[in-house]
Amino acid sequence: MRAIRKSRAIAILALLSSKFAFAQGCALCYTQAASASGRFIHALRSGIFVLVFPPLLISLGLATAAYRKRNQFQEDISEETNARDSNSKINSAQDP
Amino acid sequence: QLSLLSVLVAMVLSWLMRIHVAWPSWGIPGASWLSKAGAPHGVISPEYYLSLMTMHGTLMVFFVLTTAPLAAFGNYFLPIQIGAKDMAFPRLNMLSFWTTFLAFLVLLSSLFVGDMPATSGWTAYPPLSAVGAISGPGEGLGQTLWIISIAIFCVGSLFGSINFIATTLDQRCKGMTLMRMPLTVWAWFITSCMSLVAFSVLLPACVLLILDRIAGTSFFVPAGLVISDRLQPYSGGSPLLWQHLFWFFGHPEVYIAILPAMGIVSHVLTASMRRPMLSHKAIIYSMIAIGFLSYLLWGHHMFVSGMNPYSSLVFSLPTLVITIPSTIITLIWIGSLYGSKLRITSASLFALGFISVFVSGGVSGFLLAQPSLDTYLHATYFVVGHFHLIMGVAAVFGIFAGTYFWFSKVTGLMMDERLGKLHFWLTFVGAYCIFMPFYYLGLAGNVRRESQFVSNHMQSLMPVHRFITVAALLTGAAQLIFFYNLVHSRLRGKTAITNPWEATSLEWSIASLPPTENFIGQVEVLHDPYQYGMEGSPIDYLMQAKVLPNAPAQNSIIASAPNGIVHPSAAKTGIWVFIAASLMSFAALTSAMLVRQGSTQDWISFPLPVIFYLSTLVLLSSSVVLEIARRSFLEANYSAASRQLAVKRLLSIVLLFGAVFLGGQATVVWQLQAQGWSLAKVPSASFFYLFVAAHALHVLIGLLALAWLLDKLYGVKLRKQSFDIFAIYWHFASVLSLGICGLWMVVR
Repeated sequence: MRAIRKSRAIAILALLSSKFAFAQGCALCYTQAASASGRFIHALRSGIFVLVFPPLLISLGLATAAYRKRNQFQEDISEETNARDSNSKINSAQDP
Repeated sequence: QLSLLSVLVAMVLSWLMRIHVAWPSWGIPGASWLSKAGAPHGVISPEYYLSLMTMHGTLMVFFVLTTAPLAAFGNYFLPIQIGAKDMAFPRLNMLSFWTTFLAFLVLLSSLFVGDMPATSGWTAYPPLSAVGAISGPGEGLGQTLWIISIAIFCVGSLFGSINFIATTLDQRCKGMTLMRMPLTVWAWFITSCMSLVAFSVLLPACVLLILDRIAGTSFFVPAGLVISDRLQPYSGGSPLLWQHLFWFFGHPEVYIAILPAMGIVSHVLTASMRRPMLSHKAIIYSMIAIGFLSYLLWGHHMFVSGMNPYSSLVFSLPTLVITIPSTIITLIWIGSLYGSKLRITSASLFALGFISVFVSGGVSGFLLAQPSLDTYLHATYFVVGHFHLIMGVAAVFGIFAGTYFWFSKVTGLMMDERLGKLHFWLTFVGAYCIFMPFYYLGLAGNVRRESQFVSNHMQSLMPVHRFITVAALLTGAAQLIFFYNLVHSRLRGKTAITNPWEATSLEWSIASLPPTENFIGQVEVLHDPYQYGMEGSPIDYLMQAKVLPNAPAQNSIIASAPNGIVHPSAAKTGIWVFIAASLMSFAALTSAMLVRQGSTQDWISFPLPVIFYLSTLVLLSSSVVLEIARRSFLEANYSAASRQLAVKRLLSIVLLFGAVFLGGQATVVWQLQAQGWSLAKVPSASFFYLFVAAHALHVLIGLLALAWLLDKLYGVKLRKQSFDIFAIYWHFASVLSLGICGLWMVVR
């Protein structure tokens, strides 16, 4: 038990003490990011925020739609539609 | 068939790459036929190696891993598994296929036209992909074709997603509640939701990239770039912006490839284990969690880009968290397998193989999610091993499992099981021989994307590369067994019975080689799809649904939607899903604009002409008029001649207002151009024109629909649902114009 706790603590410490990642991979990106002012960092953060929220809202919308239709089958919809269609047929029949 | 063709081409390209890496000076027979400039005397040049890599990656990611498990299996089995006659929008379905096929042809053409195909990888990072032919071979026509192909592919995928979502939500037969849907259907549904969002962002990103190439805009190319001693005329874009947009698509894409395979594997395993999964619901919720979290990870692909370290932390956490649902699913598979009476078939072997490679590839993901480790491993073969195993091989194993499982249903003939098992073992062992050494190469510091390692410190790793190449050739050759089996079984296979695997879901209730409308008669789902292990009965399973073949055709689709008419509820869902996709594309443009605005000091505000505000007002007014017309149409006494005339007049006014709006927007663009706010030179104007053009396209589509609506109205054939759906769309277009107007008042 103690060993597990110890290893957990080491793992957490290792995660917390990780160094920040600089741009060993892409010199151009790093040069651009390093030479940019706080304005760019702020802009990137805003850009990230703008992209994060719409998918969350869309997911929420789809989840709501799925939940509302969870027990709804074609037959239920059809009955409703057939009723409407027959209504509109009556209207059409009255057309000159 | 499209995916099969793609995988064949991609496999041959990967062979060429591997042979060249292992024996760089070899002349490969036939390679010079593909490109004389890229492979003189069959020896592949470094640039052509990058072209092959790009084409291999693009074909596999887009046309195999995205298309086969979702579009191919889903289109066929989703309607059957939910008890529907067909997909909600069959014509849109066909359009989706032909659009994807066109994208494939455009991409393939780049192998033969121009100097060579694109060299910038499947990620198409700018500035290489954005500056044009000056940046080297393949970056002229080849890269342009690549971008056009991907943009077309995005459109095809969006059509498919709309169809899948509407079908799942609105076409289910009696008794098929959401929780009774098979895991395959859940996987296709969640994947479609992810595709919808992801491809809605990639599409505008491709448009921006192509504008950088052909219109001289500066979205992605930084200022002061010198190529071949020539200063490039770009005013200061950001290559990080492409990463930002591309990986928003790119990371969910990993799950778009793998989730359908997870569904197929769960489905196949359950039938093979003769028992349900330990927790059906836990798998569903885990797949939902994967879909949801996949939108929050894209920044981890930019760990090494110099982005704010705190942003790295924000992206690192969900990257680690997403492993939890994946782990839950894996543990459920393993737990369910433990002690089960597993039937060893080709399909179940590939499903087991999927679990194996998924774990082998997934474990390395833990390491890459850690920014400090990723910094070292990012540009090495370690990443190549990781994504090939978890995304490529795992998904391909899922595709094989599905093919062996469902072949009998699609063709009415059985595949040869002995050949299937032989195919599995050769592929399974081969895949490990190819991809596990990649981890070793990566840890040893072997960089990726380089075509040869003979003259540097990585020379000592050449024996490993040669081993991988031999393994790749043998594993590729083993696929001939599959193709032989596929063709031979199609021509001379044994006739399949209705339910050869004694499985329970709906597809096994109907004849192998299903009838045109899937079900003849009434379908009623009685319980969840995995009722196995029944005791006290001659068979150990219970079919999910009751199909009454002799009952009158009460299946609601037949009753409610005659040929050519889309189900009203599905049509409404479809339009809302389309609106969601549109909103996502505009969000992507807005995000790009914000990043671009802050990237350099070249952002200049410009005054918007008054006519811009006036035309917005006109469009809003048209929406009000349309609403009045809609309400008049719905009124009970609509049939009165005077009322009909009023509706027609009101709709004509809407048509006129729409045309005035378009004219107004054209005038705005003309005025701004005349004042010197050019598309190419002023980034703020570039974005403004993009917003205006994208919105104008929406209005134009609306006007065409309105013209159709008026035509129907004059013929007295207009249905209420068509009017309602058009009204939703038109109101959306109006609100969007208001949103764009507000955005430009704040941002410009």
